[in-house]
Amino acid sequence: MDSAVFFGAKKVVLFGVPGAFTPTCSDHHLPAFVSAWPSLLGAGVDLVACIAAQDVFVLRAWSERHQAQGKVVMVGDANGRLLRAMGLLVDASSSGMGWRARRFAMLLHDGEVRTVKVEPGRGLEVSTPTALMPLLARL
Amino acid sequence: GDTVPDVVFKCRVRDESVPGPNPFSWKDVKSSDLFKGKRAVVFALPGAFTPTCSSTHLPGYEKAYEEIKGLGVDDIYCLSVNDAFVMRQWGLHQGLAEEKSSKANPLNPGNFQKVKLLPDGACLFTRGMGMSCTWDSERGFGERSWRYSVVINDMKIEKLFVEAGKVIQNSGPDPFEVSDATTMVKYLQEAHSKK
Repeated sequence: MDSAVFFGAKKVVLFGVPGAFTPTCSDHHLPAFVSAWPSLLGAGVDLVACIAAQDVFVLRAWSERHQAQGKVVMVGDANGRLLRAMGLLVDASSSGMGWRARRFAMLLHDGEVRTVKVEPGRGLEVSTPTALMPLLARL
Repeated sequence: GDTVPDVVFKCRVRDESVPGPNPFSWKDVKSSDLFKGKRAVVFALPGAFTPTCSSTHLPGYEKAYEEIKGLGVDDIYCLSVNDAFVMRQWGLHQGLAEEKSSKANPLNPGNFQKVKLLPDGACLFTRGMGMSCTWDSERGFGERSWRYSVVINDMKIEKLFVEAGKVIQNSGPDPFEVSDATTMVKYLQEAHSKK
């Protein structure tokens, strides 16, 4: 599926996670967006998507575990093509992983990046739905 | 045969000293910790949670675990280029019984009682074995392991079964003919009877 077609003319919230099933991603990041999904839609968002440098089989299993289907769409970028093009791919070999997404959240409109918030460290502060809400008004 | 690569696998083991709902911590496990002085069967596959791997490859070996051990094998490992978190969840998803207390295997406690899942997330062992395969336009997996099985005896390759005879980059077909448990059991029986 072509990324231009997928993101299209919509207002999109796209958040990136280093690893399905890893603690911060699973305990906090994905659940926050699943809970916030109705509010995000209410604020005019057409699509909430999660991207990781992992395949669709792993992401689907993870999505089912967290009841995210129908809410957060999983984007499997296992080759890291889109992530690398956006400068959001890092080498996580020291943790026994390959190339992975940085943790971030991004607002897209008409296929253009309007805002991107990349977590500076290992925490979860700037890439949450709460942090994005004030920025949605400006989309 | 050739010596297998001596690399570090980044594993997660159960650690009751860790508070909270996730009592696991990182542990470096080297190939030599698992294979030195031992005879092990390793089968490698492209991806946790993917169809053939989940429906047939892993279940075949899990079922044949005791039979294989009875033929002079110390342990059986399923290797994939996935991280320790994904491998654990896949094992649970597949209904493998967790090993919650025994430390008999360096991967435990925290891995599984029968077939152990070995996370080669950084592709180090796979590259060292010459089995690195990148799927891009086909399947979009990125860099993974080609499907194969191997008997490793004290860090040396005793017998190697490689699907299609060699790694095929970005392969459309996903051959599964020689690396299955039945073929492995047959080989081990023949080797055992020659002793």
